[in-house]
Amino acid sequence: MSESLIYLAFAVVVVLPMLPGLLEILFRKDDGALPIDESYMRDPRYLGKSLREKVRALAGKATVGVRMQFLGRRREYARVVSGIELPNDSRYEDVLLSRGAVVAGNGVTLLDVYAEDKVAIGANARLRTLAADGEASIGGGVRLQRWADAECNLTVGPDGNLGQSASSAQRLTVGSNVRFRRLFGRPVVIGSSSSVSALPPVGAPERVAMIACGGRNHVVSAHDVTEGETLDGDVIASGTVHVGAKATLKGSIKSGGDIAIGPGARVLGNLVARGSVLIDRGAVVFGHVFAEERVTLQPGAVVGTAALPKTAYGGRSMRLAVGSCIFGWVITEGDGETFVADA
Amino acid sequence: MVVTFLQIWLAFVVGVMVVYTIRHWIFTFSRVYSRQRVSFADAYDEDLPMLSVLVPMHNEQAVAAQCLDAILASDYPAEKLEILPIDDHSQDETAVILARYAARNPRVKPVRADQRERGKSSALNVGLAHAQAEIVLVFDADYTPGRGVLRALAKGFIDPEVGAVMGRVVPRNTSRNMLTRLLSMERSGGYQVDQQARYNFDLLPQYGGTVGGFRRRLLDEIGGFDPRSLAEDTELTASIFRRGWKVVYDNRAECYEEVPETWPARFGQLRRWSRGHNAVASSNLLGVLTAKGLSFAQRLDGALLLLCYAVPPLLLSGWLAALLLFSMGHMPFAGGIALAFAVVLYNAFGNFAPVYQIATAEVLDGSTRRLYLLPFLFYMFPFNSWAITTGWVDSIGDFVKSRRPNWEKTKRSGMGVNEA
Repeated sequence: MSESLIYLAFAVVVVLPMLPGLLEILFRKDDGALPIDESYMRDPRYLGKSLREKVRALAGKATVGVRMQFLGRRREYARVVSGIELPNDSRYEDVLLSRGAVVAGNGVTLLDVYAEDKVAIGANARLRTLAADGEASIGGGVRLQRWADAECNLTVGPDGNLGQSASSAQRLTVGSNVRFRRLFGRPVVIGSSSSVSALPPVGAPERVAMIACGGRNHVVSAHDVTEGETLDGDVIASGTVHVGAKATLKGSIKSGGDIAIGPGARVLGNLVARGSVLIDRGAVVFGHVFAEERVTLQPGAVVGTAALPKTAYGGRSMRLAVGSCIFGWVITEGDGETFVADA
Repeated sequence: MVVTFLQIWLAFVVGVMVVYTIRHWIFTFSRVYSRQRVSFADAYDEDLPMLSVLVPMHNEQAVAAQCLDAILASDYPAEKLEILPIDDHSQDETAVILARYAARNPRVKPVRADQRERGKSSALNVGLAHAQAEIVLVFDADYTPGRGVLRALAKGFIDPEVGAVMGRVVPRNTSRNMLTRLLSMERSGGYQVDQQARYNFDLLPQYGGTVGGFRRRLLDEIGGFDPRSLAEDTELTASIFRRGWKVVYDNRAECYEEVPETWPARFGQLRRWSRGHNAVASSNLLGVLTAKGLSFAQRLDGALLLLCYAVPPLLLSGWLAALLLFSMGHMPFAGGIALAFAVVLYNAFGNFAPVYQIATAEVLDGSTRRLYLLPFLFYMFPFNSWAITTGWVDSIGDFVKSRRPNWEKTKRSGMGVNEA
């Protein structure tokens, strides 16, 4: 009897872990291939474009004044207007789909705003998303919950928070002391346009080879490109790399530590660092900037060119001084902020 | 004397398994709790390099069209892309299909490899001779890269230290049967956790030879692929690290493939991988261990990577040693309780470690219900061990007899393309 019980217990122990699997084999609830969106293409303005598509499908032919449920969301309604002016400190409970311009005063609170024309929102506004087909401006102190996108120039005042993303098909101008995660513009200008000294960089090469030279001629533990020097080829270093003031590097840099680009220096390739990257005043990097820690751009520093937009990526943080400029995409997984550098 | 030898051997086997176990655990925890390293796929760039895409094909009439259609649908700038399908001694309609695509699209430039010996390495060498670009991507014929995959892979070369880039392989025909479902789980563990963790730690992620690419100058440096090699991907990985280059793994450059649908096909695939991988290990292990510029962790990971297909025969020898010791009346180590404790520990942290890795991958992929199939993976283990051991024996035979191995192609159905 006891022997039979032992055999039974053994059989239970062997079979029991299999039972959920046997049920899954029988009823096949999770047997498909892992989903891959094979049509996916990376686009920095994906959020704005996606919303426009959905809104056009929803309200493309809707007449002005119609109020409808918004994209299947419960308790959220969208109102189609011909254009609207909102007074200071007003609150608009519906999603705004505007055929004309949207002008909102200071301190307004909005949900999603989509305008087929220009948008001007005053200071200290609170809004969830903004998509504008025309020019858009947002005053200082804005609190953007998700994202903003404009087909034309987008200007954001100081002291705000841009949520997950702010993008523009043209120029994106961001004031000082603004927090962000992703910025895209051609270019992204920090401060006012007049504060950027080099737009576009003078003497930009016709093409920045993304794969650089692939050269292996400067593999070192640490490296200094001295002031005013011109160096051909890539620099690959396990430690810190410093490019001196007004030096020129015709290649890319890979560093196991930090990279510092001195004032007025030029790098024709990419910067890739396991640590941080500092691009000093007036320095120009024609390629991409990737740092696993922090990226800092001082006033007058430029990444990319008008013809060849690139990416600046800071894994932990991104600090962009007023007067700096990036042609292309700015990304951080951590904290992004604009700041006023000491004189 | 014999008993002492068996005991030492058994202790060695347990030691090796403990090292692999710790490695699995570290990788799994890294994937869950650490910050993941930068993906260059995030980069925005309109200034992309010229690409040559090589697709070796041997009797691929079932899948050739779907692969070429997928590559042609890519968002990569047409003027910067050439596609070189390599007809490797096909005896079916592959050549006709390639000719039809070439007639319709000037970017498709079929290459015939009939003058050379058959096999992927030889075919790639022929393709390389015709490739115009510095960056070369390689897909197997059963792969269907999504629209953004070519662009994502090309961006890996933003880093001047990167010699090769590897994307993620996802089985397309998962729902076909029990084998394909289990293989899908193994693939998830291998890429979602193992490859990504190795990349996170700056170790040696493997160039897998399918969804990936390399700098052409690197191949020029090493004189192309060894035509005798059955594991040209592992060989290139070892060469890359020995020469101070890096491999970047991009977990988001995902591409569907077709996994074997029958047990004999899977056995043959594993046997070929083991045979080729062990041959590469024997010729590259010392080189990786003594390569300049690699850290201790990189050398160790390189050695563990090269030796991974030697582990099953090693484990089988350990089991044999334990059985012999038991039959000779010599319990291994310090007696029954210690043995029981060791068995429990080993099962909890050794055998289960890869399973935890797979479970973690499935959770990260959001496929929680297929986790129920995890216990069935234990029954794959002896099958895998036997196939890999057979391949290991083949590689020993190749070495001893200076024998040239034949490339045994994995049979494809081409039926899974609409299932994904």
